[in-house]
Amino acid sequence: MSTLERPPASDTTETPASVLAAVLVHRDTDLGGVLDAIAAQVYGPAGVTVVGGDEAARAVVEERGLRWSPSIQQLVQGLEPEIDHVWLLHGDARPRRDALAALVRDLERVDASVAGSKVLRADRPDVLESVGSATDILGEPYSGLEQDEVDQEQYDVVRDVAFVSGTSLLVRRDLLRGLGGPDRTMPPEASGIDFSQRARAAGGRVVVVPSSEVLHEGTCRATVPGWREQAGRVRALLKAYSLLTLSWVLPASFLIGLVAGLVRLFIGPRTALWDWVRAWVWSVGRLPSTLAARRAFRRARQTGDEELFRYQVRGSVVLRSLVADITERFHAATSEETGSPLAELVERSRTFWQQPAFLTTLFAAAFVVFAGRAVWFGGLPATGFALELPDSAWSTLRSYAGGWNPAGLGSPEPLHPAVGATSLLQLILLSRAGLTAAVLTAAGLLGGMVGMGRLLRRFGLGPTARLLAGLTLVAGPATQALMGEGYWPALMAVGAAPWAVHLVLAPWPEGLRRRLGRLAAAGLMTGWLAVFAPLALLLPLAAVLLWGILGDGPRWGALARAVPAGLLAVPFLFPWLAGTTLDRLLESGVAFDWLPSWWAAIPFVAAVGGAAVAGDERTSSLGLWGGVMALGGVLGSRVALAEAGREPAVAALVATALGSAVVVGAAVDSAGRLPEASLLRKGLAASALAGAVLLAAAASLVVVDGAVGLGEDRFVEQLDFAAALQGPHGGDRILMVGPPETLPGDARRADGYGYRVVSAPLPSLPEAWLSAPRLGDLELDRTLQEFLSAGTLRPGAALAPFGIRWVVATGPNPIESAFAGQLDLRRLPLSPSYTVYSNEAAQPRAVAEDGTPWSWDAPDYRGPARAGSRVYLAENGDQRWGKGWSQAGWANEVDGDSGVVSFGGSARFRWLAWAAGIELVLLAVAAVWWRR
Amino acid sequence: MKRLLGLVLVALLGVVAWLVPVPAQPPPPEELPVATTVATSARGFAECAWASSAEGLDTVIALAALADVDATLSFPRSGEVRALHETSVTGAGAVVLPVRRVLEEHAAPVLVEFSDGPAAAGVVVGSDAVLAGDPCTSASTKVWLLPGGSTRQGERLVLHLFNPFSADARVTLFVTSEHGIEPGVDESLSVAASSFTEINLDGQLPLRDSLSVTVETEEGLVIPAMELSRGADLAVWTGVTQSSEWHFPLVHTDALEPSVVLANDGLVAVEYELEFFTASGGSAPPVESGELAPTSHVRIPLGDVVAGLVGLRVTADAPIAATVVGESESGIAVTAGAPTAAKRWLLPGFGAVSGRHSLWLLNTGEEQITVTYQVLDPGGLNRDPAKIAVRPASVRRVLIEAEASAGLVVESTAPFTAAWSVEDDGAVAYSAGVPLEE
Repeated sequence: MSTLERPPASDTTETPASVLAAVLVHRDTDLGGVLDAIAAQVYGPAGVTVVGGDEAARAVVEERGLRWSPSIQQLVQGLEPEIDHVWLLHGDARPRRDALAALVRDLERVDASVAGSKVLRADRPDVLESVGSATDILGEPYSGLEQDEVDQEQYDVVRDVAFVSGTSLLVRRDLLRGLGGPDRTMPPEASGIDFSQRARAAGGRVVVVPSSEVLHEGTCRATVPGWREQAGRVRALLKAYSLLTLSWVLPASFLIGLVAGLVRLFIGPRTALWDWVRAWVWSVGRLPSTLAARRAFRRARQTGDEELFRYQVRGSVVLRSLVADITERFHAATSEETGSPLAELVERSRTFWQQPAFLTTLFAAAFVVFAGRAVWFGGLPATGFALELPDSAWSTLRSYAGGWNPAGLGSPEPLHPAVGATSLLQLILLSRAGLTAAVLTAAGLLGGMVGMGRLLRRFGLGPTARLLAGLTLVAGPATQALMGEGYWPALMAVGAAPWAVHLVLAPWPEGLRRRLGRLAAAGLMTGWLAVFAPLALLLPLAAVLLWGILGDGPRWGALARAVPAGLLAVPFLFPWLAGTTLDRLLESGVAFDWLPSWWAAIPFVAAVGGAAVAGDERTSSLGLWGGVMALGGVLGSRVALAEAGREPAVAALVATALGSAVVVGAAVDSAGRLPEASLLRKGLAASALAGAVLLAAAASLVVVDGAVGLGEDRFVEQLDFAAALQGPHGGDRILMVGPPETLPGDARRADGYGYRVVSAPLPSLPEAWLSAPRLGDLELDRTLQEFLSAGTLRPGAALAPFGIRWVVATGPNPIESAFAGQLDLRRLPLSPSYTVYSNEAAQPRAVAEDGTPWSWDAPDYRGPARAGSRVYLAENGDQRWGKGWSQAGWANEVDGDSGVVSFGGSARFRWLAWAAGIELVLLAVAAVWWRR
Repeated sequence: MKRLLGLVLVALLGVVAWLVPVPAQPPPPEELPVATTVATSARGFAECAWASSAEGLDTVIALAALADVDATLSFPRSGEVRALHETSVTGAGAVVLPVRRVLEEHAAPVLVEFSDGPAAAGVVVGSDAVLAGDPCTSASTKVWLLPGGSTRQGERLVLHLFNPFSADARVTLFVTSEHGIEPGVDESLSVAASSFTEINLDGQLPLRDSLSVTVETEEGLVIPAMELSRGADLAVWTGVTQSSEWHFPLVHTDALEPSVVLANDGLVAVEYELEFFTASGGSAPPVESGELAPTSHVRIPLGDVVAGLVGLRVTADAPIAATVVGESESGIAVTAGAPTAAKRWLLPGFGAVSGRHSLWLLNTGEEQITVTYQVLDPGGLNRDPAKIAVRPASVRRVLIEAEASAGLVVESTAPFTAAWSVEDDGAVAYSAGVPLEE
């Protein structure tokens, strides 16, 4: 240890504290710089010891006649008795001349045990790097500093903090000996947190002394990968917290890291998940040494965890950062600024809170939260086609890929593509049905609003116009009509529509790879649109054609993107498309009887007319484009009602929603683009604005509803009895009769009423779309007709072969009156609003010869395996139902010796489903990588 | 120019969308019509609202079928099926089942279910000086009428409400007499599922010359029957629905004074006509007409009108109910008519009790018809069919030896109506037939 010049004598009579400066060397440390800075201190340390380092460091030490220690632990053990404090300095630190003096003075003045310096960036000495920080309970640092915040002495007060930077800290000798010094296995920041936590837990005060300024080059961090900080924080938790705290903090840290990693796959940085994996692997690998360090620290511990909690912020810093990044992303996606240079980001962050884009984003987010609050907190209300997702996504995918379609009395026809897409997402979300429904609903709402923003931003419309257009898209009259009918899948189609149109309308990017990436993205979005509204596959092409006719600027080139995008989207409809006919595609189901009411029609006319006549060239073109699209959709839905079925009507109403939204956007901006116009023109523009606002205001009805316009749940509570009263083999089936619009999903239509069969206790989404009637359906129809024409004394016995255990009347129907004089349907007060009849002659939907019921475990039947036994399956007859199949009337009889009966399925449909899946992966990869 | 064209296109689309004709949606049914099935034909079941195995009443259930059928007889009581009996009929044939063999109760209404058809059931009582009979109904309706009752001195009138079904029933009763609407009867009452109830009308409305009861069901369904006893004799008849035409091949036998009772449950007056058909026939049968006030009934004595064999057709300008009553000092018989003619009839219970059995045939058409009839017994069609001609617009009575039989099947090439009667020692029973679908 060399003896440096002592500080000048103070005006006090006390002996100045003796300080040992310990320089912690890391790779690429320029020792000369830090040693010079130490030598220049006005409060000269009693000695300088260099800790660690390579041969070069040793050479410098020898050259300057300093001491060297291989580790901080050895230094601590060898500390001479006259040393009062140890000043721990990073090798890349450049303390100002009075840094140590300030540390010593204030450490002793406030009787602290650890005092840290204010750390400034060496390359920009006016920018703060650290001035003491808080952490959250998971050890995540929270400095509270803005990015590149300039030091204006705004934090210059000595105060207690959760941790101080390890760049420069003064530690009392006794504490340092007790704690064994900083943990050298940790990177700088984590090491600072760890040391500060242990110091506080050992009863010491940890303060920051801002008057002690240290410039920091930051090379110490450059040599340490980011995941090591994460791993170091986990190690710090394990060392400092009690077992009770660890019991929940550790799992929380694990899960939050996982969630953040997953989300950052989409918003970046994408390595976060890999870092999280490495951090935890490292932590597990180092567990023995961590536990040893924990045991060693236990001897020095003086206080409980609550002393640490005092200096921690609430919540999770990681999650807070994640939300901030998502918001920033959303803002960036919808704001009109282009490019992303850092300077622009800095500029925007300064005025972030005042920007209209931020306010509209905030409003949009609030709208999504409130419009879907019932879905977020209570799940999707079961109504119309908004039915619960099955428990097992994998089973549904088996049905989808050429398996048995469980709707009604079953069919080998493929399921609707919306079921395939939904169950695929559910599989990714670990089969969480409620979460999947919420994610899809949120994606529909958010995707629609953001997509509308992107589409209209292309045309130069402002944030308010984009916001109102987004609201009109996802909650305007057309979407409300779809949701009012319970056609929940249309929300996803509505959400995808602006993206699909935007991606084909946007000009080609530079380079072949990017162009292919764009095409893949357009194909993906068109496909996503089509799986929820198959005929809307034509919407982007139709929109492009219309824009070609009515729009301005170069526009026909979009055809070159719309056509291949549409072709790429077609395979997403497999195998459903291969299993349907053109007639069924166009005519199946019942179209929605919707015509805009006057309160929607008049504002619409005002908006279209005003924008078209009074707007500038762009808003006029947009108004006409949207108007034709919207009214074309209305016309399509009317024609569908008269001549066709549901799918054309859904596609038409999606077009109406998109067109109305474009009209609203154009009308809102047309008023603001007329600084020098005639009074008449301004008046027209004002009326357009008023009409647009009124149309967008319709969204408030959805907010009041709180269930994205789906209304109240119709089935969960009403059919609760079926779950409560079901037997060990399951609930069998429910025959639901009533007005068709009150039934779940599709309904078979009869004279003046509708009916359908659903699985008890509650129908699920795959059951929503009924297939073409088969033998069993015809037999059931004949049975019901017989009830009406001839009456029957035992309708329960007549319904038993269909596996019908319950009859539920959802509204007025003639069937129910035929049940007045019968013997085996007992009316029970089981449902709050519906009339429920229990079938006293019911038989299971699958039953062995000896009467043993088999369970429906979709898409299979299961029961006791008995050699030679035969099982009756109340499913529409199909020879692929298994070994020993024979037709039993309209149903099936098969061998039950294996205990499982499965539908053999269609290899063709299975391959088509695989093809759709492979195309999805290829397009997704291409869209992500080639567009970067 | 583009703006103008665009606006024209938008306007055109709007107008066309507005004007596209769409199919009119049927209005949602607010009040659905009650499923009413009039007993114009035999169905797979029959409800016998009255049967008894009380002391002195040898009641039998007669089951007649044209094909081999299994029959299940269930006797609901107090919410459960108290007794169950299964039997079979070799078709075409008929069997009888004494009620006492299954259940010994004062009242034992029964539900009969057939595995196939055509088949029908009837209840017949044959004891000392007591004869009664009535086919069981397979009709279901919310409104039943039971005209033909009385509570004169020495008479006992009981309304039976039978609910064999799975749902509780709530009914309202309206009673009219020669005094008009009668208050004071249990107007609203419940009949639990799988049970029955009896209302003693002679106790509540004594000394009425004529009573008609309307049973309106507000919830569920019931099958009503009336039991009228005078002296030793007994008459039983099931409720009828309303029709604007009624056929009575059987109006009177030698022993009883006939009258017809017409009941109007509606709120407007009804014009009616009575056409009398004699054995000799004729193109213009004598006619009597009259007006039936709203919510009322009328009992028209036919003793002065009828001389000899006569059939009756009642027509009205609105639906009414009608029964024929035959009475004497010691005998009583009541039967409902047939609301329509048919080509084939089953007469369950024909020959099930001893006495003088008569088949009554009414041909209201303008052509003579040939009727084939065949007695049914447990062994099937063991007896040769017989044929008889019935002149146009005429009625005919056929006395038949029906030893050990339990039913009769009657058919012709043209529609007609059939009924039967049995007489023994001054006791008389009238019974309508059951029409079969063609």
